[in-house]
Amino acid sequence: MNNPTLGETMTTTQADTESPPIPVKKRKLGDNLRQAKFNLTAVRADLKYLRRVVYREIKYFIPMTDLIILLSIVLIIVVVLVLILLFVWPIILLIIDSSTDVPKYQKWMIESLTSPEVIRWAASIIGIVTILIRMMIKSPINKYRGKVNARKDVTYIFGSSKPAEQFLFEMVHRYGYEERVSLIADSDLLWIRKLKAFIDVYVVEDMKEFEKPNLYEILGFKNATRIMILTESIELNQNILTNIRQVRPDVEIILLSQYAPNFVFSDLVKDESLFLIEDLDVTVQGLVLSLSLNFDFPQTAEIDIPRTYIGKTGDTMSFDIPKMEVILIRRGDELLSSNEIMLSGDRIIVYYYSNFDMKRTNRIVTELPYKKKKGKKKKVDAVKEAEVIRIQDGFKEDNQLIENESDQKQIFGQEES
Amino acid sequence: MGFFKKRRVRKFAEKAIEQQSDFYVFGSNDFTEAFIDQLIQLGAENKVSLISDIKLNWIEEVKTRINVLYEETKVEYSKRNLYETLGFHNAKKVIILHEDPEIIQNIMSYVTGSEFQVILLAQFAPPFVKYLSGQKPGQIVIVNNIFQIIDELYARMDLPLSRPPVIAIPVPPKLVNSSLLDVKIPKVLILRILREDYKKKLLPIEISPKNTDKLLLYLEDSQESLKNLVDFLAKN
Repeated sequence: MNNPTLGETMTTTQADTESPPIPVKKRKLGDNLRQAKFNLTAVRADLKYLRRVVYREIKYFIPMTDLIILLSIVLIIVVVLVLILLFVWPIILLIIDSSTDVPKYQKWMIESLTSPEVIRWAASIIGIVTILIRMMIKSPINKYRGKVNARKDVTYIFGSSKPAEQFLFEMVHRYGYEERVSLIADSDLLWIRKLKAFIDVYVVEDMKEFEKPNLYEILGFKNATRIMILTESIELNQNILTNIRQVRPDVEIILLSQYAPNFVFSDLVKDESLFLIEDLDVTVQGLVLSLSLNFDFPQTAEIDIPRTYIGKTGDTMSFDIPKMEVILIRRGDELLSSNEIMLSGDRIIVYYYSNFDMKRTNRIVTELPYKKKKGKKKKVDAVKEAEVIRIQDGFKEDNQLIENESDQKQIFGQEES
Repeated sequence: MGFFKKRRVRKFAEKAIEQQSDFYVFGSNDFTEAFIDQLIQLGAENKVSLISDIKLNWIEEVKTRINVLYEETKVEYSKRNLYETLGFHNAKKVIILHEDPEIIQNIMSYVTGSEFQVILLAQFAPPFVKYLSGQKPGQIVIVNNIFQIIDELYARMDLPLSRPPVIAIPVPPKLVNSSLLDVKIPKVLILRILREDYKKKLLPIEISPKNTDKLLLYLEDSQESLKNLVDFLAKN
């Protein structure tokens, strides 16, 4: 037996010698083509998303274009008037009276237009136009309202707490759901300023604004599907909650139980659209568990399968998409290994190393969902038919039973009579 | 007065040794109340010693059942003397539930050198704690309650995306360098090995794990799976 050298003894461990080598699959032309196809699908999904965003932005900018049009019209009128006075009017005068001295008239006109009186008049007109422009320029709150109202089904989030920050970060940068959320913040923090590039944000400058119903009346929350109140102040949450209820009595409101005002726990409050996230319970469970188990939450998500991977294995998808791995396939209640072939309707559990790849994959899933119309329709029709037959059979059986019962009753009746 | 104060702390420390307290809890907020309540329900009141920064009714009520010390002066938390007197004999875990980053920082700076585990909430963990936990993995545990809160928020969003019940745990000592294929934990699926050398890497379970690896687990039923997992880890 050869004695190992010092270097080998130090570098080679039992684990290295015992564990089999990590399998590495070589890429073939077909793999690269499949990856290119996936990238193309990702571009298509991105374009679809961008088209919708651009359309919304244009729609929002239409009121702004009114102002530009007004200014342009005023400018054109001024230029046309000057041109008429300098060139057209002398021609008309020349037609009426041929002895008219055009250069002299033009010189007189220029002198007149540049006279102090005319300049004074022009200045006052410019002043009026400026006032008009000021009146038309929107305040930040109206600007925010205009932008956010151009969307439908929005989840409004109040606050700048850690849960709000983490939740919005994931929604925007990890999963690509920037269209579905909007933030009303209580402080202008750096992460909020960065977020302004992706979602509609309104920063309330004075905290007293939260107490006034005016803020909520202006915003209206007509397109709100739910409102999450995630500030770290119980008093602030109370103000927001009560004021929103004045404007939208029906909208779903979500609060963290840790910062919920005490009155919401009262039996007198019967608000069916108010939901409390039991963060206190969740935290205590985590704490108790941490006494016996050292664990953390890895970066995983459960999503639908991208359309291009139906009929392929989860491992193929992991191989194609960098920095993301399918670790489990869920078919209804059944859990399958990632080397199984994926079918439409399956869900996949993915581990992701990078937010970018997760966002890209999820955008494909949400923007370009697979078509299950025909099969589904047929299936639904078949189910409906089966249901109709079952119900008809049920009726027949019931009728038979009723008939039998009535027969029996008749017989009994006859017997009784 | 100083003499009496020290005597008060010493008395608390002696009582903690006497009842063999495993857990030292710092705090007085809602989380502390709910946590202590939960421990009492689990019958672990003898194992807990509470150091509170404020006198509250709920603490007065539990004072008969658990060992309590009121340390209301904020400056005391920055003095080494307090921690030396406390001693933390028998301590297995120190749980810091304070919201004030200054107090957390002071406690952390005196207790992290010891052998016991320090547990904090992610919600109140100051940035330096994350740095420390990277330096001393396993000794400092940050309970990621923000992740769990966000999980609940996601569930309310009606999105075609959800967060699966997947957790990562360090490889149990008995499973290091051995096959995971024969490991069976009821209602728990071992999905992958998570290895972090210079960057994160997922490995199939056919490969024997190292002691620095983590196991990615899927919990089929949150309560039952966790119970089975804790039982399994106690044996391994």
